[in-house]
Amino acid sequence: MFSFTRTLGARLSGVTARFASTAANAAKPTYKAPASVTVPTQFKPNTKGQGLMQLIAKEEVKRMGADGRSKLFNKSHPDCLRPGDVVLVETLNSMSADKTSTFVGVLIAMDRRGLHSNFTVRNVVLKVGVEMKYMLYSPMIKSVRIMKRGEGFRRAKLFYLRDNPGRAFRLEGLVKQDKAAQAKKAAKSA
Amino acid sequence: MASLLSSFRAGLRTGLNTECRSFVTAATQPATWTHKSLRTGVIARKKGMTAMWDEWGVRIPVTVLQLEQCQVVQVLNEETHGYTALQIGSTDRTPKNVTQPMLGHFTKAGVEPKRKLFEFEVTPDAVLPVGTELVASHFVPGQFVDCSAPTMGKGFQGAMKRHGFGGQPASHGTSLTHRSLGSTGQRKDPGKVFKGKKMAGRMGGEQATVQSLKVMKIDNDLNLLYVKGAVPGVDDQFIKVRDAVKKRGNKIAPADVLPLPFPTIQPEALKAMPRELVAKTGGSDPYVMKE
Repeated sequence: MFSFTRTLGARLSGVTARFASTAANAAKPTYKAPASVTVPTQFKPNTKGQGLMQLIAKEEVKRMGADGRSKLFNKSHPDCLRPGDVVLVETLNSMSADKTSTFVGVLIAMDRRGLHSNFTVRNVVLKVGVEMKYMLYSPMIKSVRIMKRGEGFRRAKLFYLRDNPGRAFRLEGLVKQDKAAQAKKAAKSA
Repeated sequence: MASLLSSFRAGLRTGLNTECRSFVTAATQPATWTHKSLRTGVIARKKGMTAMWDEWGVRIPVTVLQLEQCQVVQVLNEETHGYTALQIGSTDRTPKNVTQPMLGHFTKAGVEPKRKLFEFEVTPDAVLPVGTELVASHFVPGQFVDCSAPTMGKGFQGAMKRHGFGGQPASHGTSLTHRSLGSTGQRKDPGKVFKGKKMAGRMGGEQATVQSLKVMKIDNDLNLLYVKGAVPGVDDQFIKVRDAVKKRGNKIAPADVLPLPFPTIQPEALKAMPRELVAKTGGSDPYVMKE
């Protein structure tokens, strides 16, 4: 901690050199967080070569992306999402319960904004077009799985699928296949 | 980066120049808070906005405020000045860019020349010695603060934007007067336009206070305050931050973080704290349907 307290301690220990040993042996004061305060994963700040806002954004990404979800937006990673992929997003309904909601659809947009990175998934559910926008680093997102890689999509944003869907949203077969595969996996592991 | 190094230097400076004046030491009796006490505020710099997620998964916009070498420069008292206040200075300045009168003022206090000076009225029990450095932990996570600063300048603006006037219809014969302010008064009586009539003019650049903003997070290493919501002014603006006036007594912060550090955070308590502390929103889960 770069604060005046450290220099005071250094100054005091310099003045009272005779008591240096006792000062070193003195109990380090501890902080006990009250119930209304959380202590997140601590990092050491390194402002070299970047401004304050970049630094805190990077730290927050490291903290929120500790489960490895940053790889979904990292172009150099083989597991990166690409527009046109069919993805399954599992979100928690609330933080107090384990119940989840699932949404399957075509990834039509990815916005790379650091901590605020988000992606849009589109599907046609009961003849109604539904788009869901998810914040990548939201704690409510449990998992994002790629069910099928997109082929033949040559744009970064597939908004044209709203008017010209073609066969892009015929996903029932995929969902069935995936369910069967999941059940098999569960049976195997059980 | 500069601020980190500067705060380190400030610590060295206060240690070397002001032996007994740097902060409230254990030797002096820390004053006890009463319901009539009024702590000092701080000067912080608005660094920008970002977002964070609370314990319920709700996304909260936050403004990042940084305390840059925030020190007490002068103590104003009842006998000499007629009221009790602390003059706080923020952000060091090179002495060659400071006028001689101001240099004398800062030398008397024994602090580096500051870029901005503001007064904060306090009660006599909350007075701090000259040279005391105010840090982010002067506030606690979860407490409410008021932020004051000049608003962003909007230039010369019409009455519709400046005062929220309705304008005239877009069609049905209206000629060349869609956004004008319309009538400015009556007829022969009073026969004049009253002073203060709302008209077009320069908008913005005035002092505004946003009240009862919650402190969501405190960073002790970088001296940052993350307050929920928006704060007036541009980035790098000097913001006056103080305890919310509309949250008296126990409403200022959650019960388990009370009492607020009075008159400011003690060095021992500060040393014990981890770098970052996040406030919980509290209450019940908003995503769970209440029966």
